[in-house]
Amino acid sequence: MLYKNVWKTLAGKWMQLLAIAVIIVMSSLTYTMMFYGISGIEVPTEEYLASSNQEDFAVEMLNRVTEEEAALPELADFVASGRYTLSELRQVDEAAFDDLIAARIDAVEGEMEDATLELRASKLFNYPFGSSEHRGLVLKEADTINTSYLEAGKRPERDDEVAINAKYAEKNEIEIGDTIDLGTPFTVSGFVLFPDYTLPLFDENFFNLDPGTQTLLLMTDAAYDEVVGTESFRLAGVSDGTVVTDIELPFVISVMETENIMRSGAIYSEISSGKAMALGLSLFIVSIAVIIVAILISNMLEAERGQIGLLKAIGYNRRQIALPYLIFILLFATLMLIIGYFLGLYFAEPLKNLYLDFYLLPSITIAQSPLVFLTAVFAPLLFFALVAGSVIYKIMGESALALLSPRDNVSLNRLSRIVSRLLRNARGKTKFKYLYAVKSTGSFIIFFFGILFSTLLIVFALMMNGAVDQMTVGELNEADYEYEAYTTTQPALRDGQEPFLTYPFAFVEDKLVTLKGLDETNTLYRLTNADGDNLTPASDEVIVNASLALKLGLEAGDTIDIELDNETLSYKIRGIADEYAGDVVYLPRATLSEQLSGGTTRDLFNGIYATERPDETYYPTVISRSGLIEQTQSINEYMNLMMNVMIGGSALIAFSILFVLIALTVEKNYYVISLLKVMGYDRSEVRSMILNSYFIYGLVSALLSIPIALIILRVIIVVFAEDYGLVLPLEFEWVYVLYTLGAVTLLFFTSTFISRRKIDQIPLQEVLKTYQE
Amino acid sequence: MIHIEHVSKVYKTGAIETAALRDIELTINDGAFVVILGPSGSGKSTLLNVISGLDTVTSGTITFGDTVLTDLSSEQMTAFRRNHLGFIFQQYNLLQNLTVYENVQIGADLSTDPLPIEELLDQVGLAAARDKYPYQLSGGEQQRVSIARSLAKNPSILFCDEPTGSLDEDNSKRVLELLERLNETYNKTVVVITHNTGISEMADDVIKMNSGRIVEYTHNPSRKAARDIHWG
Repeated sequence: MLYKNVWKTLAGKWMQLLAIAVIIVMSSLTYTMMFYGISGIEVPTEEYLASSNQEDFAVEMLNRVTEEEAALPELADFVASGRYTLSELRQVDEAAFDDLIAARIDAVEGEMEDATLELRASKLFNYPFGSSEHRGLVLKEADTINTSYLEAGKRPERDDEVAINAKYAEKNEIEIGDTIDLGTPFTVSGFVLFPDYTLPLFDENFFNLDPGTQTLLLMTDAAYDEVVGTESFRLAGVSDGTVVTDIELPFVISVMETENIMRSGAIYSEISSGKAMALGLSLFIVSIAVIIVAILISNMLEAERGQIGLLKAIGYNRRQIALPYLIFILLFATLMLIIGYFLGLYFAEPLKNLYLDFYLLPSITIAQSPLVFLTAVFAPLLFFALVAGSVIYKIMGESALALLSPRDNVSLNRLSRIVSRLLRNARGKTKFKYLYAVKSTGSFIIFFFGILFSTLLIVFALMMNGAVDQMTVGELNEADYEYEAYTTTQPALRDGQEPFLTYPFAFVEDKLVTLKGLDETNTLYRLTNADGDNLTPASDEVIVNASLALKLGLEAGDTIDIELDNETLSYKIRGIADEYAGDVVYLPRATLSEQLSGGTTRDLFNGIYATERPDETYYPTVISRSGLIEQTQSINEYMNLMMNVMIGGSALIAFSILFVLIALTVEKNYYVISLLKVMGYDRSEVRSMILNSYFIYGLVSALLSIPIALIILRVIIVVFAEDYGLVLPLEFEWVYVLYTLGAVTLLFFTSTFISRRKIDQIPLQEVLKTYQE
Repeated sequence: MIHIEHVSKVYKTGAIETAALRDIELTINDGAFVVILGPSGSGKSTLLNVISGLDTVTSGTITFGDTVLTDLSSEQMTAFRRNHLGFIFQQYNLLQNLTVYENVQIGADLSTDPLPIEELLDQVGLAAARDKYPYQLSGGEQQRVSIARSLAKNPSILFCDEPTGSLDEDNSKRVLELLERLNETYNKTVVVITHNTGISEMADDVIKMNSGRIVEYTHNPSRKAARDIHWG
């Protein structure tokens, strides 16, 4: 009979229970989905990286001959020919190149005991694919470090064979045995992965992670040599000892441990932060659920004090009365947690695939783990049992007489006293309104932090929205050229072609930067600052891009020293260009040309911006602007999806919290609502007095979330800049305040719709019943 | 002046009909002190509910001056209660998170012409307790706050449903003295529902009810002071 009674009581609160169910389901769903999604890639990743001997660190080095190396007799002829890059050296004198690399490896190994190094050579090139333009990074097969990992098929044996990424093949419907045109036709012999590119970040000057428009390639050495593209070299290293990252050698740009290299190490922090987030998020959500359930039980039992007192008076003991409440609550929580677990398991697969859409990693089918089930279901259940049990036990512990008597008035909480003092001079109904929402500290904390958490995610999502676009194609969207092309021969310029000169080997504060010379009359690629004002480099003033400015803390008006071939050039910064690709200093082409030619010419160029596709005879490397924009579409779609998931998920949590708490508030205050009506307050005044303070507190909570979001954002920017050298252009715009407040307003009015109707329906005669406040 | 003509109230529970009021005819004069007596279930609370608009009539009319209350919409009745009626209940109904002053203020906020709160608190003998919270007051003090709150909006009529039901004799007499003083000082019409026959001695008019009917109407030619009534 007692069970039937409790069942009926709970059944009458089905809407509150439904909202609580959403929160409970989301807690175990979040944990299960994220944990399985991550472990689905973690286990095979560890095996893969170990079997392919992933580098422990990488030495980024100058891809040109240093001054010291240029003095070597064996390089005299090469230097005298006016060439200086390692790639050119390898083409004209492979033996000299090998000696130079061996010397560099010896020099680094001399600085780092227990380290073994190996050259990592790659070529980056673009090729037309259907109506699009794709990018390939062909890597030379390594001997021992970063060896290729074959997922299917076989490694290329003939010069017309190539192995590509499985994800690229899948997205472009390519199968083993198919032919793809990479400038010349190649037969796909297999699917391959490389452990130093777990993230397809091929080029630090172009942030694109889409494995559908770019692929890693493995070819025979002969085929590699024939590829026309930008060749890069670095040293990959493994070490049993400590990695020394502050090596000071003329050719060393940086030494970074794998965990700090985005292309190879981002997966480690992705896994660890993903796990921490899975636990943190679900713990936060489950805490909200537990406290709301505790409030619900407390309200329910308080409303039934008399009935419980009567049961005690006629001989039922505390355990007998408490058990039905506890059992039903725990059954309810168990059911929801299990539903959440299986929903999480279901969504883990798409989450894993989402990771694999951007990480180049092998995949396995997700297997269930008893430990995850226990953590997702039984850990929160224990939490529920303890909190719900103690609430029930406490109320049941009162004597029958105390339960049968009207409840003694309770004193005010601290929060109410503070609000009361703040509203000392306000009108009575204003005081009532704002004091009512803070009457229960527990409810208010849940409400406040729930909204804070939700709006925080909304603000983040809004900030992320523009950031990725800016990182990927921000400046490309603004440009007026169609093609960017590179040359070594300086052919005659045609109409619709504007020259530029790049030099990627300069330093600013020991940081490798690219110098880019633009003409003052340039119209196809204009530089603008964050306010949209045009910037043009002048003979004595340079323009720095936003990425470099953020990393070095540079501002317009500062002076920077550029190290160029052992010469230091000082320039005033005219402005900061709103660009985030690479670290670039812009100066007039004539100035850079004069500097690089030793004062002999002001007209050097090694690239052009063009409105028509340039002749590839003269321009071996041609990059299509629309092709690049197209390549970033996928990551933008992914970010939009993430943004929508974040906004949707947080809105659902906020909705549930608002719905439950306000429904409980109305239910608990039937008597007061009725009294206000009897006194003569009209419908809208009563609604306002009972509900609208939540709205104001909700807006305050949302406003507070903005500075918190900005602080967290600053930390994220610093961590990314310090750990990966990547500047995230996460920016706050004031319009986000309006969006966030708009979201809170919408959430408030939708979640309180039912409560408003309920308030209207509370009869005036309710006031004549026993006072229950 | 309130005129109640042929008022009946029938409650329906499924097919069962219960007549709570049967053809009530009554006039309450402005400034009168009226006591309605009757045992439980006699219909006295229902009568107060329909007069004050807390409940609707099944038939009959109630007029206040020129206003036919029984014809008013829910919104119009709310406005009428706001402008003209004050209520005091057996339970004190104070808002626990507001101070004494604030509890009275929330009543005053309803009116464009409220009575001064400080003066009211002085009248009910709680000027010194203005910043106390309800839980810091005795039952009698809480009821006096409730009276001050009802009066703050300066209503024409005060409806009191068992206002001394939860109080001991001393506190009850203090509350009744207060009602008496308000009736005399501010010329408020006071309608008191009670089981306590002694209270009828201080009324102008006494109405006895039973089984939903008025069974006896008495006009006292002289009223006893609240402190002199026989407490039963």
